[in-house]
Amino acid sequence: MRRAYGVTLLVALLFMGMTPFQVMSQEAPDTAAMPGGYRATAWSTHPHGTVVAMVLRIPAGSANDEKGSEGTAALLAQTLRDQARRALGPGHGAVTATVNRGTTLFTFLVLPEVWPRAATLLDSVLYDAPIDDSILDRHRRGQMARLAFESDSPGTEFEAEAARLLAPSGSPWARPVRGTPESVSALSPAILARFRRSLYRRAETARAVVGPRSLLPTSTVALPLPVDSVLADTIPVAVADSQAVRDTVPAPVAALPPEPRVASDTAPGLAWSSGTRVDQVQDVTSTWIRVAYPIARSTSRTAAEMLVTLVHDELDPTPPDPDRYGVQVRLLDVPGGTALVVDATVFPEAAGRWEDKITGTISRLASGPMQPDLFGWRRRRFRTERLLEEASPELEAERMTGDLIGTGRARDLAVEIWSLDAGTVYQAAKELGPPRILRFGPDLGEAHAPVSPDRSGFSRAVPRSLRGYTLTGRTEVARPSSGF
Amino acid sequence: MIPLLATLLLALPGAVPPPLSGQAPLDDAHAPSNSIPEARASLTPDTVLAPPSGPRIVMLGAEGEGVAAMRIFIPLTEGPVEEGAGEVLRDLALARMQGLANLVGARVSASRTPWGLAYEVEGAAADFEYLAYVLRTAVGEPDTAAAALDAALHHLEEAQARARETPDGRLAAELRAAVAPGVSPLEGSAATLRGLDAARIRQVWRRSHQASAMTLVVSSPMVPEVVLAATRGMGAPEAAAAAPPDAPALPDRTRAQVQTLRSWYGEAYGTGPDRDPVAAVTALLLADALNARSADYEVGVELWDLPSRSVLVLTGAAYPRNAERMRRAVSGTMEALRTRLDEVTVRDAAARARADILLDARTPGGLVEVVGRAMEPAGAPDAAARHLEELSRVGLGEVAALIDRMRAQAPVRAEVRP
Repeated sequence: MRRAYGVTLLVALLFMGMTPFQVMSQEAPDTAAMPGGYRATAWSTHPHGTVVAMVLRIPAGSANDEKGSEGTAALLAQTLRDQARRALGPGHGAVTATVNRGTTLFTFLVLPEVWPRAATLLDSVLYDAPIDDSILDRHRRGQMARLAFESDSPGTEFEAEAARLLAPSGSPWARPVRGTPESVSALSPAILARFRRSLYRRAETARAVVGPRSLLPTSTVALPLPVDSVLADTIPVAVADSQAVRDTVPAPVAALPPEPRVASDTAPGLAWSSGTRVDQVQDVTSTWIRVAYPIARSTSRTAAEMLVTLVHDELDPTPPDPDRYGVQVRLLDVPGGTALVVDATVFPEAAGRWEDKITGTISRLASGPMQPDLFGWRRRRFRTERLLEEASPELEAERMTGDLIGTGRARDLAVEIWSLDAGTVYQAAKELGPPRILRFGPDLGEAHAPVSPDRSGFSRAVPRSLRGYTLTGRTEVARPSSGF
Repeated sequence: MIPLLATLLLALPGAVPPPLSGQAPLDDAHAPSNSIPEARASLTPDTVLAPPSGPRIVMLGAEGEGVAAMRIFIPLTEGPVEEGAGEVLRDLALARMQGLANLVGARVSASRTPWGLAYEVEGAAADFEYLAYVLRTAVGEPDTAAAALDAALHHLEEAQARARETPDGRLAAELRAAVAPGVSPLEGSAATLRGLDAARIRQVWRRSHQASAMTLVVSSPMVPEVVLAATRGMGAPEAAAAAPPDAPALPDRTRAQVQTLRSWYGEAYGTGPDRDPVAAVTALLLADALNARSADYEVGVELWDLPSRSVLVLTGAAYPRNAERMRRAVSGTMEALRTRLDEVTVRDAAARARADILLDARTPGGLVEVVGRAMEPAGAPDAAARHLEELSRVGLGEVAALIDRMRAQAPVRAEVRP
């Protein structure tokens, strides 16, 4: 919305005989000091923004940890986050770091008076400064204590099992993000430095900056360019840092180790083509369910995000189902693509019903397009929720870096959401691949087994022996693809 | 319940770490702390409109922004027999707002502050008229049908019970009663609760919710004419200004037993006028100092902004074996801080206090909240921006003087034992 508005303003000013330079050069900031060399940078403004949010997305995460050195990415990010906080100093902003399996995100919220000097400083901490041994050691000891405390906990087991569900057998993607007590104890400054040297590369890092208008670099729009160029640059799509405009096709995501792939498990456009069902018996007081569907590569990110919202609204309305403790629906980048993942924690007695409810919701959404009026209303809600979420500058910047890595350009969300129609979202649901399902909880017997057929075409009222209920551990039952 | 404008959790960082090896940490050498034009500008309204029929409109222009946020403030003074009525009005309004906001995915909130009631809505700028309708509904005549009113009174009763029967609630109530005897708890008492019937709630609404008394803070791309049109005719019919009834309330004879396993101890100090920047910085420093001393017990520092005064409160909770150490830590923190106070520590704390405000204001909803709350006591549209600037000028001398004043006065003390 705000970008479209900016375009309108510029067009109007051009017709009034003013050049963009005359407009945008007011309070033009000194952006020459901004560090460069990134794969791409996207910018966006908040008119009354009080801080500058900068997010750096490094396409390397725990999947890049070496075997035996699991936890490297997480420990490195924690250490560098603290070094960045110390360099920023008190009262100048905030720094957070998030390590996922495939990415590491550094988020900086910086006060205007220290921008853009802070950007330069934080850049040098992340990429160049020596790793501080004392900070590293403190985090390593803390991490080991936490992991030791959590070892054998049901949560840790579920997390590991849920990750294995989404990755090919043996894939490093499924390794524990924070490592194990043994692997973390063996992590040395040299291992972390090697990881950073090989994977923290500016040329692979996507950067997004969201802040007050007066602090944004205007150089890309300050020149009196032809109208088309002005429009193109005003919309804050990826701005290549090198002088030459880069190809918008993204470079390959960096350096994931080669994954062992099962030929029959992949299909063009989907992360997997065969469904799986895993029941794991655990003596816990609630049942955790994960249901994941691979999303077709042809599905737009915005359509997939709306599908997530629709599924969530169906599964977790207000007032909530009294049998559920929590429901989370999200998109997850997995080896070979993206998946729509539903995680639900429910009363054990309701587990079968909830599994049906989740798969049934997807089936309904894939059975035909919504009525236009109903779709229009849901889209309006979706748009508002996304706008409110991205009113936090750091969340907008985070999303933009994901866009840059994924497609090479930051989406104009408001425009893309308006362009969605019922058919697009229906298509996204219809093209979902077969689900992979994990149930993790106590064995209550057949009385609580799911009974309805699901979209993968096989009845799930399977005999107990095939459903993987064992008292000692895990049995995986691979399902044939339904081919839908 | 006394609202806490600043609850300083003791997870705050302690001593300032040394500079990173090979890195020059950022300092303010290149950006004098009292020169923050961007930050000040972001909290300064662009337009203030005062139509005769109200409400007064304070606009933070947001051209091109996809989100609009509005916060409407209604001053409210309750008479003794009306205490708690504001909380009931807040509860009733919030229920109405939530139902409407859910339809379009907007966010709403409602709060009772020592100065009045505030309703807030945040949503897509494209839905601006609808958001204004949500606010209009919030300030409209309350639904005092039995079911709605009973639910609101039940919530109020729960809040009163929390203040009476939980150790931290009891501690706060005792400290407040001693340090600010003229200030009644916003949730009222069990005695006034019985008198809050539909007629009294409507009476309080009619007297307070007149558009001419309201202040609307808006962050949106809308031009003033649109905002004016969307907000015209809000609230209760205009009537001659009326004072709240001064009939005394019945004495509250409710007895309650606090169940606690830990000893709770607190000290309260009057620090001067409300929204005092020196008190805010001092509270942060005390939180750091108290945190550094705490070990096997829980401690907290709070700054209460009340009409015309602010109160600094230090509290602790400990199991019996650590209770004496906890009391000594709470009582000795002021002295300990004073002996090691220096310019750098004060400047860093002031910078953190300022940063907290700017971080809170980084979304349109946060912005109207920060600007609107700062306006409540005196109505100055630039109060938030001025407060930010005042914070940047707080130095060692001011903080040392406040601590010395507090040390010279005997603190109000309260204790809840197992």
